[in-house]
Amino acid sequence: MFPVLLPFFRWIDSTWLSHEIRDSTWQFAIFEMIHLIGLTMLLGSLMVLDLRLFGFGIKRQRTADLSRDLRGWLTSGLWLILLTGVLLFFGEPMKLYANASFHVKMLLLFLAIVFQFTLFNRIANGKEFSPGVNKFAGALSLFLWFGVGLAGRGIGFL
Amino acid sequence: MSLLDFCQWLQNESIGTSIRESVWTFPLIETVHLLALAFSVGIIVFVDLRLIGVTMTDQPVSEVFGRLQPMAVKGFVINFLSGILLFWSEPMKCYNSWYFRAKIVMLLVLGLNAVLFSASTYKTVASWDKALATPVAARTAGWISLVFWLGVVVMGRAIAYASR
Repeated sequence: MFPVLLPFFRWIDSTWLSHEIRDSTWQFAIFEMIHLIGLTMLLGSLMVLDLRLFGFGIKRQRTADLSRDLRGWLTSGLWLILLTGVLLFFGEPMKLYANASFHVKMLLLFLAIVFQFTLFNRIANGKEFSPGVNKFAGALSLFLWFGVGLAGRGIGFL
Repeated sequence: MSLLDFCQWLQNESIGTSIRESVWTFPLIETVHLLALAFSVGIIVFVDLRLIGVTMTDQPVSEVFGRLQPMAVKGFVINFLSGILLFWSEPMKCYNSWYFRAKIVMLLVLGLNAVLFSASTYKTVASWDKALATPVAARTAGWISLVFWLGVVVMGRAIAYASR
């Protein structure tokens, strides 16, 4: 699909790390489990925050304060996911090169990260946004991150 | 009828067989099961972290617990129902899987932990609602919940890898 990237995928495939992960029976499984724990942390903290943006959940607290409380957990979850994600990528680069669900996932991941750390943070940490704007931010963030999760699950089915 | 007989009967029963043999039904249910994680385990993890006293500490425990617990329970209903359907479609694989057995035991422990916490420790929440250091019993319940829920996630993934 992206011939220009093919040499890069082939290079990943030829690395020591890629062989190491592929030749081990348990490494890929362990990384995938940690990947899921990262997902739980990331989507969990995001749910708590997005519920607040929608006007549910922890309503007593201002969104900006809740966002400050959860930011560390959210970014830790994201780092855990990215780190294990890279290892999983090394474990099967040629499969992923040809996997449409993976392409969609990477596109959504890129959009989700950009949105999360620009507009979303501005809205969640600001004071003077209308409920409509808050709901839009919450809905778009749920759509993008759940889309990443959905496309991620799809990789294994294709 | 033993548990084995029941699983064997369920294995050959028509609804489970149709899920197992359909191209899209099993992946669809499994995707729902996975994404509902965010609503159930994801949210409950943050209730646990509040009980342990490491996040949202400027909010009363009753606010965090009271507002988020109902959401987590709703998420769990989705997980439970989709889980039943997944079990229905491969009861013999689950029966033979130690990971599945461990997952069920962990879920039972979690249920017991939640019931005990609500029925005893949480009754006195008014006296430690805003305390930075929550009572040992509350922290213990939080840790048990945190560790076992993540264990449930890991075991759930393991079921698909092997049935030993």
